Amino acid sequence: MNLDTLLNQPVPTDYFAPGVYVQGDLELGTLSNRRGNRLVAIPEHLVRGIEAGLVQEIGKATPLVLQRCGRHWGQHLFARLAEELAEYYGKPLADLTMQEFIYCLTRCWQVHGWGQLHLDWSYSAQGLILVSIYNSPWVRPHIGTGQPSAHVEVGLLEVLFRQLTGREVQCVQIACVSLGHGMNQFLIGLPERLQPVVDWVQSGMDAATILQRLAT
Amino acid sequence: MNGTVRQLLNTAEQRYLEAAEQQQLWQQFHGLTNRLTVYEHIRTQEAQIFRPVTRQVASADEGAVLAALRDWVGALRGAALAMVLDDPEFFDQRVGQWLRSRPSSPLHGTLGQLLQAQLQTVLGAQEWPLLAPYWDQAQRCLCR
Repeated sequence: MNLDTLLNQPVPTDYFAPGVYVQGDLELGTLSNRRGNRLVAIPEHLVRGIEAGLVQEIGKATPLVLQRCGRHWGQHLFARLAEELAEYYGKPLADLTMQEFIYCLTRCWQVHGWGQLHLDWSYSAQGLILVSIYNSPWVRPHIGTGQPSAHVEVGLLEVLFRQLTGREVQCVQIACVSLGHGMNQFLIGLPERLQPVVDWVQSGMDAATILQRLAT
Repeated sequence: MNGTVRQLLNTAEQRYLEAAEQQQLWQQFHGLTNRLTVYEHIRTQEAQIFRPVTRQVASADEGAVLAALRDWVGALRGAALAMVLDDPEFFDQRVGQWLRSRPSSPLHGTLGQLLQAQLQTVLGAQEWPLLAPYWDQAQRCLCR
């Protein structure tokens, strides 16, 4: 490609730039993204209401159902990301650099109001990715359920990273704002790598100790 | 919409704007016409701005030059629009954060210096100062 070609075409920058990505049509009473796909702003009370309703109706199966909802969402989110980013950047998702893709993913979280997403590759030697989500809308702070409870995010991240890596990775939550932590934290990896972490979480081990054990 | 206009519009929801506040809006209006002239100059001269600079780095790796040039084209277009709106926050939200996430390359610095010299030549002493704050913003994002 030469300079003239470069100057005669749009130069894509930030797909999820606020102000461009989310658009509203007051007459129709709708929000949509820059491709015209509909977006819906869900009030926090509805999220709480859904969870409370599930607990009342199905009790112990609630985490499982919420995780399944997250998985369903993750599948569609990945498909949409792949389609929208490929169209905007003019190349298939696989051809985006890792840096570009991670930037888009974190901006996607921000612009939709899903909180701040951080990916940490420090545990790649252990075959694990550490994901932190600050300001998650899915969990109430300090409700003290005893176990991490961001079930929707567990399902979402699991499916998203399965699609991204092409491997049957799993996701386990190790920190949760419901338990008084400053963020939700998750470890993602293949089941055999993740099993000790699952055991540690079930035994009540805190996130700092888990990460310390992984690092040594 | 820049901060001054936004603030004035918010004030106007509560009461009529006073004379001094209306004067601020007039200044914004006149400033906008000047800035649009500079924007049009940049738009029509884009090739003149980039072509001599590209020749000066012709010996470097073509792929790396193209990647860095693409970033600078995006940066200049974003800076020019932010200049029209007189809104640094617009630049940061639309392109600044993206530029900061780009893989760092020594070519960003080299091209940035060469492009600045070329912009100063093409825009001249009257127009360049209008773009300069936004160009500096772009430099801070790409030349880390």
